[in-house]
Amino acid sequence: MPLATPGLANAFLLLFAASLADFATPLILAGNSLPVLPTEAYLQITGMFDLKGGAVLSLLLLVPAALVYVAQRYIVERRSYVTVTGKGGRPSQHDAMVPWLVWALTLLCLMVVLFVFYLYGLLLYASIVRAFGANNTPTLANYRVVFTEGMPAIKDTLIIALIGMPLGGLYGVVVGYLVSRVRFPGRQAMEVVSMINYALPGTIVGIAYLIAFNSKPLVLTGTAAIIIACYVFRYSPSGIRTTVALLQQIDRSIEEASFSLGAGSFTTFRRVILPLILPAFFAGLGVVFIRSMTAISATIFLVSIGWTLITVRILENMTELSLGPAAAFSVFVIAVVLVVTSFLNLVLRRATTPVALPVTVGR
Amino acid sequence: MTKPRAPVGIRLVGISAVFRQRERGDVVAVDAVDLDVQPSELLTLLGPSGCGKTTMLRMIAGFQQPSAGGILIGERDVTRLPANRRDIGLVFQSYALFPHLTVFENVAYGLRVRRRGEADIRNSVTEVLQLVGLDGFASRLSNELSGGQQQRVALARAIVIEPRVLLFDEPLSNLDAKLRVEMRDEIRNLQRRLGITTVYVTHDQEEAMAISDRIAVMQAGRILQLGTAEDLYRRPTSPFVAGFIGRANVMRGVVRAVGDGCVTLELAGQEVTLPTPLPISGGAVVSAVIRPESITIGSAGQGLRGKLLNRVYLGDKVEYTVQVGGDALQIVRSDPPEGEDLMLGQTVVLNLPSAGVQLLLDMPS
Repeated sequence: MPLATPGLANAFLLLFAASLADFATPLILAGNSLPVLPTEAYLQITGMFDLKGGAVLSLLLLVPAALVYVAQRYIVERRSYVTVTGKGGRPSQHDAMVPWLVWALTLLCLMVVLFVFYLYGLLLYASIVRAFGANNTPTLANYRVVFTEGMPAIKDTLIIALIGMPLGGLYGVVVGYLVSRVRFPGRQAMEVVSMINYALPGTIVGIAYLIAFNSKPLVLTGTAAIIIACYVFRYSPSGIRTTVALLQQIDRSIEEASFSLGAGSFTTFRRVILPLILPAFFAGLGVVFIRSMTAISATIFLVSIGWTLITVRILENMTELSLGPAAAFSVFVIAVVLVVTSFLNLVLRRATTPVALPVTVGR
Repeated sequence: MTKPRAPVGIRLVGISAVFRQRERGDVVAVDAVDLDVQPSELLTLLGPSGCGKTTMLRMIAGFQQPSAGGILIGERDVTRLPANRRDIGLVFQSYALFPHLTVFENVAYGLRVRRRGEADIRNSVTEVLQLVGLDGFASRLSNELSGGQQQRVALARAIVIEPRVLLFDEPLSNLDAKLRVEMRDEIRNLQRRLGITTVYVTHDQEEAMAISDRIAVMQAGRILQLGTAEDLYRRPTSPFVAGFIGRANVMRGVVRAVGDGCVTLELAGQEVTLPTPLPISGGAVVSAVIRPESITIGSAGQGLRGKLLNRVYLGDKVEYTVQVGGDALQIVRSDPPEGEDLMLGQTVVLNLPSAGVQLLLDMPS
């Protein structure tokens, strides 16, 4: 139990931060009856074109977010264990729990899983009926809407997600490597700055991007670039953290062995470090893609007539009370996410199965 | 392995390593050390932890930039050269195998980096794996090997590139005692056969004595004494070396009389006459280093008198502890006769043969 404390604390803090900054859930579920800061900020900006008011509101969010961030760092910092030393070992398994506890926990988890599946089932159902709750005749009309009217949004979202994915994955791995392995002035600052985007509530980030790129020298508002940039920098931190965590487990002497065998920094990174942190790279890819498909809180400020997103369309549909198309859009997003993530997993499994390195010189 | 190159020496000139630390200020890990490693020699840096031996090795390897001084490998000044261009083979305490590669690819790594042809790589790797007794393991992963096998892979990986210099950083300390002896003999035989100039770091004096052509005993960032195992054992120049290489009794005494290559010492209130080449004058304070096995113990006769505190019978030898004045001396008698009648608590006489005692002048401190 003491060993699990950091994990529990982390989960608690993450949940706290997430619910604090969550935007879409309260907007859809609570409407006006329970005003929360992120939605208020959104309404200030989009409804009243009051950039400053929105910014002030979101700054209020900053205080608890910063506290959570600091607390989380403090907890994470305290653990650092090298487990991959280049000495091969076999993982050990313990079964220290009493059987009934195992059963109880399994049952609890099963119930949660069932509930989640129930929600998804409802979503699927809502997407193939005329009007959920009133007219339950099956129809594909909702999907027709998705693939006709919704096509631009789908195209835009996929383009943005597919461009952002490799950029975000690579960025995460490179920054993670720099932060944990290369000593240079400002290393700490770089780590903090790279994490801030993630720790901040999306609303703040969205408004920040909007203000920052609204005027010279870099006018990006209304382009796809601003959305991609926002996704890459906002969602690569999970790739960064995974990379850092993996690198902390890789003994420094493995790199030194590579150097001593004549490899330079680049070769060492490509042939030793990269394969070892490949899981982090793919995790980064996955997260950036999923987020690109599903995120809304930051990017709702960044969409334009030229570039819009599926999630924004879903929100629009919800506010227009057209539940069917919204559900159909959602099912589509879920399907795409499932396909892409399982594909990534497949590739990762292929890539981490040890095989002979490709030969650099032909036979 | 195909065309052996002429072995080269390593030369360290006034090399220092200073670490800046916030809390403790500057820590001098290596303090202006000069060292010449002869071509194809195996030289061991021996010392307790924190003596600077690993830092020395890392400076030779190129992982630690010296704060002062220079390093030459052969005729080449490598002081500013990065590790990957120094042409060294390094074997780590933690083995440091690449966990995502097979044994074959671990060993082939250095050759691939050197862009050697595939057939060439296959031949060299197979040959080296045979050399370390791992043929048949080529397709295994490192976590499917025992510690000894992993260290063999690390060794194979280091020698397959035919480095000019081999470096070992406590390579055996993660192995159990029996394997340690086996591996150190293997390393020694391999090194002799390949004739690669080697620097070996360890804190284990027995390992050092077994494996080395010469040993450099280090303490506090300096080399206290450099010589063969026998030199260090028979003629230590400091109490530290005497105590670190083998077991030794160190007794302090005052010189009472000098004459004819001999001195008469007062040791623990008793007078003993011993030969010494040192220029010693009357009244000087000296340390007498006496190896346990060079003392003869008896119940009567000439010599130092003491009280028998302990006696341990070990079959091939007997170990005694004898109180002489304020010192408890260790004595070892090999091949003990049957029916020895020394009793605990009785007075015994210790005979110090002149050749078995090394006198050291105390440094004025």
